[in-house]
Order: sequence, then structure tokens, then C-alpha cells
Amino acid sequence: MVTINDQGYITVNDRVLKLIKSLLIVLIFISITIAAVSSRLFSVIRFESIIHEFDPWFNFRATKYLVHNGFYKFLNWFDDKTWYPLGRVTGGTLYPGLMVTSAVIHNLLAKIGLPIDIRNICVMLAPAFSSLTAIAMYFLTLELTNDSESIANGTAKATAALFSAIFMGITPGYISRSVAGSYDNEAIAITLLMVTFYFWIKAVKLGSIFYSSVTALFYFYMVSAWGGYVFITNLIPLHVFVLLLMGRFTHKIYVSYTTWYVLGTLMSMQIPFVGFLPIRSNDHMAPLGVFGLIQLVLIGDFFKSQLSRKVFIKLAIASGVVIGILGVVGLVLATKIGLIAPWTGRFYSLWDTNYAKIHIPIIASVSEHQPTPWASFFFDLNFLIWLFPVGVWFCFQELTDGAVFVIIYSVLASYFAGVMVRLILTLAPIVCVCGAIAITKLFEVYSDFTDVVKGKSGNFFTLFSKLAVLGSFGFYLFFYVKHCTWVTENAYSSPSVVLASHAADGSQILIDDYREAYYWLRMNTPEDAKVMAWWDYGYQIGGMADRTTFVDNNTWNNTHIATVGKAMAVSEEKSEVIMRQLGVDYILVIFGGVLGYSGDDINKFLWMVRISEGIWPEEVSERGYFTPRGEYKIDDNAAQAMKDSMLYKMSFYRFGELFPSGDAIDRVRGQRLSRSYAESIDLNIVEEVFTSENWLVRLYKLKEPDNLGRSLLTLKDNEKKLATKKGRRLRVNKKPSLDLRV
Amino acid sequence: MKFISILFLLIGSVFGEIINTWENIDYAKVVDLSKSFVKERHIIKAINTGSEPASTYYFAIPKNVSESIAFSFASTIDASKNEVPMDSHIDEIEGGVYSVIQLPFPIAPKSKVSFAVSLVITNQLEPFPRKQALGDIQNLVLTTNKAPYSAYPTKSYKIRFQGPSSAKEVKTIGATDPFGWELKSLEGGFSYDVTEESFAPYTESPVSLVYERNLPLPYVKDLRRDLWLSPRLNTLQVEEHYDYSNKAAELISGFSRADWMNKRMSTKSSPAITAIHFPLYKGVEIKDIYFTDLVGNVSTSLVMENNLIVKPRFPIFGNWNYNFTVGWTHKLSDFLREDAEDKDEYLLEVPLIGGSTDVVYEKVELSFYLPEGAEFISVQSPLANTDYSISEVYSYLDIFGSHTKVTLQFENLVVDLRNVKVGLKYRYTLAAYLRKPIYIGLSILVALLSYLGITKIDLSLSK
Repeated sequence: MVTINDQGYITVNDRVLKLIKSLLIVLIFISITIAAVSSRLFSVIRFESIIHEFDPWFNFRATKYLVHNGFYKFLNWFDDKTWYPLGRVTGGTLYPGLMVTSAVIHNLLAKIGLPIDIRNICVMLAPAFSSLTAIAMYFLTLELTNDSESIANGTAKATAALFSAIFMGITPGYISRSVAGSYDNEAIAITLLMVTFYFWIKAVKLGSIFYSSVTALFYFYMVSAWGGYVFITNLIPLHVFVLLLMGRFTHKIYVSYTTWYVLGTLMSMQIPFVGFLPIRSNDHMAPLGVFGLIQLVLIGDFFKSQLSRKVFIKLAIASGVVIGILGVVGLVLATKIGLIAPWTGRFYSLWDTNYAKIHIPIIASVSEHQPTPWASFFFDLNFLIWLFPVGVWFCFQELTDGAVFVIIYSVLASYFAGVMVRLILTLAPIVCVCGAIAITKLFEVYSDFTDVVKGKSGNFFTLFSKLAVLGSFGFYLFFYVKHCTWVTENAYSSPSVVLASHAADGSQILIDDYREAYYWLRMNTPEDAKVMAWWDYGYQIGGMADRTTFVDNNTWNNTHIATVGKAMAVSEEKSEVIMRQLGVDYILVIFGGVLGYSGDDINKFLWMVRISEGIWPEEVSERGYFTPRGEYKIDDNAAQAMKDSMLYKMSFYRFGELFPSGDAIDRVRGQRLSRSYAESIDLNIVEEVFTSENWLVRLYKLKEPDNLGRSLLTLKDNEKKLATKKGRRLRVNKKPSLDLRV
Repeated sequence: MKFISILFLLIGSVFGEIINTWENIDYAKVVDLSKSFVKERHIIKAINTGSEPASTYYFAIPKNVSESIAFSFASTIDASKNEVPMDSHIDEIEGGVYSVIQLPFPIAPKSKVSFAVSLVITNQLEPFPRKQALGDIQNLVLTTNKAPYSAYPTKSYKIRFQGPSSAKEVKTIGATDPFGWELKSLEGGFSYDVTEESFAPYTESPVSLVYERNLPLPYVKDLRRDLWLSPRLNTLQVEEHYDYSNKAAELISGFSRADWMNKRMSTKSSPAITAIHFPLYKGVEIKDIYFTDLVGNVSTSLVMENNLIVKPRFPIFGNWNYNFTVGWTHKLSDFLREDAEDKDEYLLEVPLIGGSTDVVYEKVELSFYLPEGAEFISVQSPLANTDYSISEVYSYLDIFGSHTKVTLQFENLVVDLRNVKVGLKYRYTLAAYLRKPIYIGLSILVALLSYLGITKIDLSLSK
């Protein structure tokens, strides 16, 4: 294997070197996997193996349904435990990819003798897929840089690919949605996104039907898993379109695009939730248009080779005009007739960030739909964010098909990431690619000491500058790992179902009020009890309390949400009417005033008001909840509408009793309720049935209507009168004298 | 002679089996109310008034408690107060329920015998009133017979209650009390001043006694106790699933956290269950304790001085429910021994129920999961089980064999039976011990080889 030749050089066998190289790569991948998975396990170690946040609870519940009832029942699942009394055609309104993936893994493992609990599979799915993402990232970067020497030359290609895999493995932008327990569509979707793009680049390069079919297959998987598939749906045609504009039309592009489009579209239409969207909705018009265009280009190409230049230009102009007119007329007509879905609000909000706030408060009320602050780019991507443009610049150096793809991806993803916080997720991969390209290039140049070694350039400053650059970037790399670990540990590992706090001695205290209250509901209310809460908690109530809810995080019916919002926002008298019509049994409110938890219902109250104002502007008005001076107050000086509102009363009912020796202080809003005022907050139509240990969750029961048809409001007043001294005497006299009985 | 005995049998079946041959000359009834269930002890001195030796004593059990007997036990008492257990079983005869006691030897006419009958009765205590406000002191009501309820006439009778220091009699609707006895306090209990000298058979004298007991009435609707045996790791994994409830007084209105906090209820004794204790066995190693419920881990459990203390997510008030799972691991060798004759046979001896200090179990399901490949031989329980089943369960890496699961079901148990041991015998050979690792190793080898084989196949179209 190893020989020493006559000149004293050691030569190592080719095959041994290859073996060592592949072993090293495998080792690197194992390390990346360990790094990626273990940093995602902070949440399990610091808390427990639990499903996080809101949407994952629905996905988890759906997965359990799938595992217990089988695929066909799952597809036809009508869920009568949500959106009472409407219900939800759940099987037809979800992306089944995630649930099917977990169920398949669950069943496969059970087949080979590993009957792992479905909850643990759901919790660990995202970390497991994150390591696959890193591998996919490696191949994608390798493919992107493959046919260009100026982006990354020779051996540097693998280095860049490995760098991108490492970056992707631990970038907080991706970890934020893929920690253990974050069982959401994105958990597998990012992996699929990378794999799809990898096969697409390969297909374009080779013009291979096989690879474009594989692209279509993964595209189908992606469609089944995440609504963000639209990103691929638009990015691939855009890539093709730009290539066409650049005059790069080849039969390879034609073959790969048409194969992908036809197969991918047909397959994506098999998902019930997607159905006929790919030929109707605006989101899918781009691939259709490019599909038509590429046919024309092909025909044009054919004529160009057959006809003379003059005739061809005439033909091109004439057909261009005809087709243009036909296209526009067709589009307008189809929209008018209703064949094409009207432009949706979420689409507009992608272009105009203020659109949602004005027209659709329900979309704007979701925190992850807010525009991204600058800081979070750095927070989620660290030093890659400023290496990113450098990488893009390198791609401009040699505009290969792959480089064009990187540029388009960068532009689109940057824009969308700026519009919505959560779309940083789609930006992260390309940032990792560009960052890897940039840093590889840098190291390539600055770690080249051959001149120094050979003594050609003895310039001390050259050496110094090289070492300085290497040193600082070494530090940046080191700092990146530190930063990612810190962010993951501190920002993205909280399940948000359980809150962590610190005791005086520094030990961790878990605040488990959510589960306390949900579990109380599950254990101590009738199985068909209907719980009214703001929609944020719908999935959690369904998942943990197993009770019927009125609205949940699916938010498909704005009016229903507005109804619940109105029931919370109006006075007891009006609210009772709404709640009786809805069939409410229990009401759940989140109150952070005792704990100092700022994400409570009072702080979300304005969204309830705004959403219900959108439907009933004459009954609910946002202005009424502010004091005349425009302040959002909850103390003695709160606006009358605020004081009267159901939610306010339910939040602060008996709050004053916690402060026996003085004024009640709301620790979230830092406002003081005077003792007498806090005691005057009273409820008539509902009865408190449970309040969790730290008052975070408060549960009320809507009282039964009075037997004699009296209003509950007047009843309570009468009771109060009886409770006075005179009344007490009256009551005593009325009581018949009876012996103690059993 | 045979003919006569058959005739007697016939007469017996027609005119009644219980022939009035006994008379209780001394009868003491002690009712223990210190727990959430009732323990009664009847100490009887009886004389055979018949003309023939008699060896069966029919101990009458009142109708209202006959359904709720968790456990009954009879023993003779000799002159030096030593007790020797006797055979007894509960049977329904002529519409009445009796504990049929077989005396160790026939008692000659005019001879006397002393014995004691102990009964553990559940479902006898009820909160009074049924609903009360948070922080109110809880009273319980017990309905029992004041006078001796016996199949035979009784002379000289005493009744005493242990636990609460005083009680009050309450009148029940429609009940007439023929005895106007006074209640008086004693040390560690109270008793009646019995004024009557003799009582007719089957004297019914139901009385409802109200006494203070400001503690919960814990109640397990269903306990599933799973024991996993692993000789490979030398572990006995215990997992218990509880459906916990409380039969104490319900809250008259909804639960108010403000009241709970202001009255500092979590530090006081109250009818709400705030913590559940599991006494751990002394001298037995225990590790890997966990406490979960259907929504995940419950972080509030701790081990203190041989007690596992589990704090439910919320205080369990009357008629509230909470279910949870606790589990831990013991060393298997602490509970297992080899059979003296056959080295491949093992005998496992474990307590029937695991934990808690004061609780009633409505249904208990005890399951043993034998090691893979072990052969079940027999199971023995001192208490009668209501159901019994054997099934196969597949667990981790059970591709070529499964765990035999032996399940025993019991009904109506109380925590006092936690020292009752259940024995299980099984055969586990060295071959069975080695089979699993060998099979797993082989299947991994086969998988690797087939992977190697697949990579060698050339599927390319271009040649």
C-alpha cells in the first residue's frame, strides 16, 4: 500500500487514499449528524419529550388518528371535535405528508421489533430529518458548484459542500422549526426542499428524464407535506424562465422541465387538500405559463432552424402578439368565470406588508406572519448573513445554470424572508450555500502558503495578513457554533407548553399551568363538553384536554373566530346570548397578571376586538377599549367597554383577593387595581370552576339557565341583596325547620 | 346411616341449612374507622345449644355490606388468646349472606368456643353533607348495625369504635331505633352503653353515625400493575397505571384558587388529595422512578425517607378524577429465587399491590411479563382473583419470540392487602436466554450480507 520510491518520496496507493477520503467524509457526516441532532435535543433534556407549541399538537393528534384508524379513514376524517358546531373536514384540509411519514416510520420500526411509542417518533422526527437535510445540502452544493471552476475549483467543491452541510446542520434559522418536539410540516419540508432542488439541478444538467421524474416524486412528497411547496412551484419555472431569457434554451431544459411539470402537477393533484389548485390558483400560474412558453420556444427553435431569418422574425412577432392577446383574454375570462381562484389575502400580504393589518386581521394577528426585524437575520444566521452577498457575488462570476439558480433563489427567498418572520426558514439553506462558497473561496486563497514555504515571497505582511484573515474567520466559525448553540438552547428549545423559571437559589422551576388546566378539563368535565377559548389554544385543547373546541389554529372560518372574539369582547348580557347560541359549556382564558406572562389573552385582546369589529363594526369598536387619552388600561381607569367585557372580567375576577393587604398589581402590564375596584369585578353568567396554580389558565363554566327563566344577571343581584344584613335575616326566617337528615 | 344423612341433607335444603344450634354468650364488635374503609372485628364466644356436636358456624353478614366485603378472615381464640386461622368462605344461603366458618373440630353440646371474625368493608363511608365549601371540615357518615346481627341469639354484647374520638347519631328517614343507647367517648374511640341483655337472631338496628374526618377518601377505580421481568438486566420493572379518584365531599361551587391560596389549603389536611404516598420496601433497591400522565411528565414527585411522594397536577377534590402512571425498577434478584429441584425453574414473589397508605381499589389488574422464551408454569394468589388470562406480547426486538403475559384480575381491594404476596413460577432455560442475542446478531448479519449482495447486482441498461 505504502511504498517509498528511490527518491525518498512516500507514495500511497490510490485506493487507500480514496478509502481514507471516503472514511473521513463518513466521519464528518457522522459528526454533523451528532451536532445537528444533539443541539436539537436541548428541549428534551431541559424539559421532556413533549410536543411543542400549537400546530404540532394538531399534527400529533392527526398522526395518532392515522396510526389508530388507518390511511383511508384518515383521508376521510371528519373531525367533529373542532369548530363546533361546524366541524372540520380534516382529512381533506391538511397536508398528510408529515403524519404519513411518522406513521410509516412507526410501522416499519414495529415490524423490525422496535415498537416505539408514536409520541417519541413525532418528537424525534425533526432532529432525525435535520441530519438528512445536512446530507442533502452537501449534495446540492456539490451539484451547484460542479460545473464551475470560478465559484469553487476542483477540491474546494467538496469543502464548500461540507461547509454548507455543517452550516445547515446547526443554523438557528432552521433549528427554530426543527427542535425535538417541534413536530410541524417544516420539520420534513426543508429536507424535501433541498432534495427536490438537488435532483432538479441534476436533471437540468443531464437533461435526464429519470432525474426529473425523481424531482417530480420529491416535489409530490413536498406538496403532501407543506403549503410552502408553492416556493418550488414558482422557483423552478422562474429558473427555467430566466435561462430562456438568457438564451440558454436546450433540449435538456425542455426535457427536464416538461417531465417535472407534467408528472409533478398530476401527482400533486392527488393530495385532497391541493386538488385542482395547480390548474386554478394564481400561485400555480407561473409553472403553467412557463410550460406553455417552453413549448413555443421549442417550436420557435424548430422554425428557426428551418426558416430564413427574415421569415422567422415576422412569424415570431405575429405569433407573439396573437398568443399574448389570447393569454391575457384567457386569464381575465377565467378569473371572471371563476375558473381561477381570486387573488388571496395571504398572497397580497406577501407583497404589501400592511395589507394584512388593514384587511385581514386574522393573518396579521399571528406573530410569525409579522415582517422580520433586522436583528433576527443576524440572530438566525449569524455571520452567514454578511457572507451571503459575497457568495452570491461569486455566483455572478460564472453564470452556470446552477449559479443562476442560486441567484434566483437568493433574491426570492431574501424578499420573502423580509416579509414574514417564518420565511427565514426558506432563506436559511441558500444562505448556507452562499456562505459556504464564500468562506471556501476565502480559505482557498488565504490558506495557500506555498509561496511562503518555497521562500518565493518572504514578505512578512503577506504572511501576517493571511494569518489575520484565517484567524478572524476561524474565530467567526468558532463563534458561529457558539452562537448557534446559545440561541438553540435559550431561544428555541422551550416547548411553550411548559415554561421555565428560576428559583431564588438559581434552580430551575417548571411552570406547568397549561397542562394542569388542560388535564383538569380532560379528567373532570363531561367528554362532550365544549370549551370556548381564543383560537391560539384550540389545537392544544384538542390535543391535551381532548375536548371539543369552537375555533382553533386552522383559522379557516373568520366569522366563527369573530363570533368567539365578540363573545369575549362584549358585556356579560350580550355575551350570554352568543355563548348560548354557540352551545358553550366552559370558557378558558389565559391570564398572566400573577406570573408576569406577557402572552396572555388581555394582551391579545385587541386582536379579538379587531377581528370581531371586522364582522360587526356597529357592535364592537376598537376605540372603545382605549381610554379617552388613547391608553390601553386595565386598572380603575380602564375604558368602560374594557371593564364590561367578558374577557376582562374573567381575567381579573377575584384577582384582588391575592393581595389581602393592598392594591392588586398586574405584573404584566404593571398597572395597579385599587382594592375596592378589584373586589367589585363580578361575574354573573359564569362560574369559576378551576384556576391553575399560577393563575395562568382560568376556567369558567357557563351557568345553566335559571329554571324559572329569570335572567342570571338579576338573580345574582338578588342574592347580593339577600347577603346584606337585612336580607340575611329574611333568609333565615324563610328557611323551614328540618331535622338533620341523611 | 347414609340414608339418614341424605334425609338430613334433603330436610336441610328444604327447611334451611342453618340450624339454630348456637348461642352467642359473649359478643364484642370493634369497628375501626381510622382509614377510608371500615374494618370490623367480631369476637364471639358461642355455646353449642344443640344435641349434637357442631362444627359449622354461620356468621351472618348484613345485606347492605355483603357486596362490599373486600376481605374476611376468621380465627379461633384459645385460652391464652392465641389466634389460629380457620377455614371460612362467604356464601349466599337462603337469601342471606354468611361467612361459613369451619371450626377446627366439632364442638360437643353444651361446649363453648371462642373465635374472631374480621371483615374489611369498603363503600361504607360517605361524606356528610355530600357537598361543602372549600376549607370546611368534613364529616363522614357510617351506617352500621348497632346491635349484633347474628343468625343466633346473643347474650352479653359490647360495641366499640376506633379512630374518631366522638360521633353523633343521625336519624335516617323511615328507620326506627329500638335501642336508645348513649354514646360515650373512650380513649382512641367511642362506644355505646349497651343496656339490653339479650338479642334475638337477625336483629336489625341500622344506625347512622356522623364523625369528623377531614381527610380524603382516596379511591382507585382501576389499577393496572405491570411487572416486566428481565433476567438479562437483572431488573424487575414496575409500572402502575392509576385511575385515581376521591370519594370525599364535593365542592359546593367551582374550585377557587383564590380561596385555596388565602386559606393556605395546601399546607393543611383537607378532603382534597394533594399528594399520594407510595411507601417503598425497605432494603430493596429502587431506581429510575418516573411519574407521568397522558400529557407527559409531571415534574412534581420526590423520594423522601422510603416514600415516593407524588403530587398530582391539581388537588383532587371529591368526585374529581386524575389518572397517572408511576414506575420504577427493582433488582430482579431481590424477588426471585431458583427452584431447589430444577435449576431452570424460578419462583417470583411480589406484593399484590404496590403503593399508597390509605386507599381502596375497585379493580386491580396484575400482569407479569415473563422474559422472552420463558415458559409459564403457575401462578398463586392468596386472594381469589376474578379473572385470569395468558397472552403473548411483543416488545423491543421480539422478532423471534414474545413475552408471555400472565394477568390476574382482582376486585375490591384495600391497601391493607399490600403485604399479600403473589407467587409466579416459570421455566427459563439457558437456551432461551441465549436465543435472542444470537437471533438479533444473525439477522443483522443477514441484512448486511443482503445489502452487499444487492450492491453487486448491476441493473444498468446500457451494456
